Amino acid sequence: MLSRQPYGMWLLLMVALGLNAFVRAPMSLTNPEVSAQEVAKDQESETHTADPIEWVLIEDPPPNVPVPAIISNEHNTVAVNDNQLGVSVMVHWIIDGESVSRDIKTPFPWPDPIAIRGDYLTIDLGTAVAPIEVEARVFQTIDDNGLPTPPSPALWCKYLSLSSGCRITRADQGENWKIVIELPADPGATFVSLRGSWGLPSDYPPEIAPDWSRFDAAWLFAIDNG
Amino acid sequence: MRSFTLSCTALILIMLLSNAAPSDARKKNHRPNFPQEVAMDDSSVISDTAHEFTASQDCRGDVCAAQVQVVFMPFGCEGTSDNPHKSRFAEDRGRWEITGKSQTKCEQMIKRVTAANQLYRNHLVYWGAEGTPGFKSKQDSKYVEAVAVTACNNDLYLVAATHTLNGYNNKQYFGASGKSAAVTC
Repeated sequence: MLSRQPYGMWLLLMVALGLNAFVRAPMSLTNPEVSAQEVAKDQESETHTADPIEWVLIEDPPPNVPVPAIISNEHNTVAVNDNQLGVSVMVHWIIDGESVSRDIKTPFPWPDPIAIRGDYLTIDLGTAVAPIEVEARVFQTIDDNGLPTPPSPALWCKYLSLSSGCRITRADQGENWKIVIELPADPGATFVSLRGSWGLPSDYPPEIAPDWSRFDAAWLFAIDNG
Repeated sequence: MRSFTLSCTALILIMLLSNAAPSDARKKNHRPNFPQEVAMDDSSVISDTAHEFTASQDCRGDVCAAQVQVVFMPFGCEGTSDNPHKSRFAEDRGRWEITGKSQTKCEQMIKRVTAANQLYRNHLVYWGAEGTPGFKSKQDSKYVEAVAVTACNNDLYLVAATHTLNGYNNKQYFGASGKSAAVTC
């Protein structure tokens, strides 16, 4: 009996070491370079940088404020012939060499809803220049002043990430960029706001846009997906 | 012998327990199949980075990186923004101010690295810019930090940054980062 006990202990130790290796295996094999610092960093609350930043090639911003429009495509069908143009509510842009800054005022000027079919809303951004940042918000009710009730957080639209419910995409180079937004499951009137930002290159004439690093604009849309 | 057995058992238990927690934490943060960098197309490998990637390496759903012309970590660079926070009481203006910091940092020196940022407030249907923007740009460098400032109105604030990279190979990239938080003063 005494001579068998050490074997038992060694067996137990080997089983434990085996279990230890098994527990460690998933992290060491899948991502051996993850450090404690990176883990801590990932756990911070973030807005639109949950994934690594999506970098785009620098190009000059659109010369004029884009005019986005709801369109039909494979994701949805607009049930009327006229595509809805976004109602411009905010502009921070250089137009004809002059800086133009305008913010939204009440009552918010929502357009009349147009009927669409589908689980997604597709908006043609009206430009082939890649935006550096797009936020969309979806509301189901507004008050007499057009203020959304309840408020809704921003969906940060991404080129590749599928996590936000909003995608920036296009089928071919040279085409206008499209924004595809996942719609709420509840049918009925839905109000959608969109803000886009286009970066200014480092060599953009500083006398034209001193202290500016981007152009911004925002629009309102309304649909009925009942 | 009994004490030796107990010691061994305790040691084994400690080893098992000490490895369980980090494993869970890392599993939670594991991003399967996410690339560190993707070239613009098969012919445009970024010459002054240590990595070479092909566009086929990253597709999400029906869209691939090359199709939308997106690059991850060009020149080993990343952009970050910190939470907006109460900074100081401005005596001359009689108000508390909020600061937002954003950084552009690269693993190696590049031709020009830039960070520009701004504080935004929630305007119900979009984030609206306000206050004084931050801007920092350096030639032949790998790190800059921009600092934006605005008045504190006890609200939800967003720090949004435009990061710009100019490489020695004449490739230039834009990136955006942002972080929001409620700030009371």
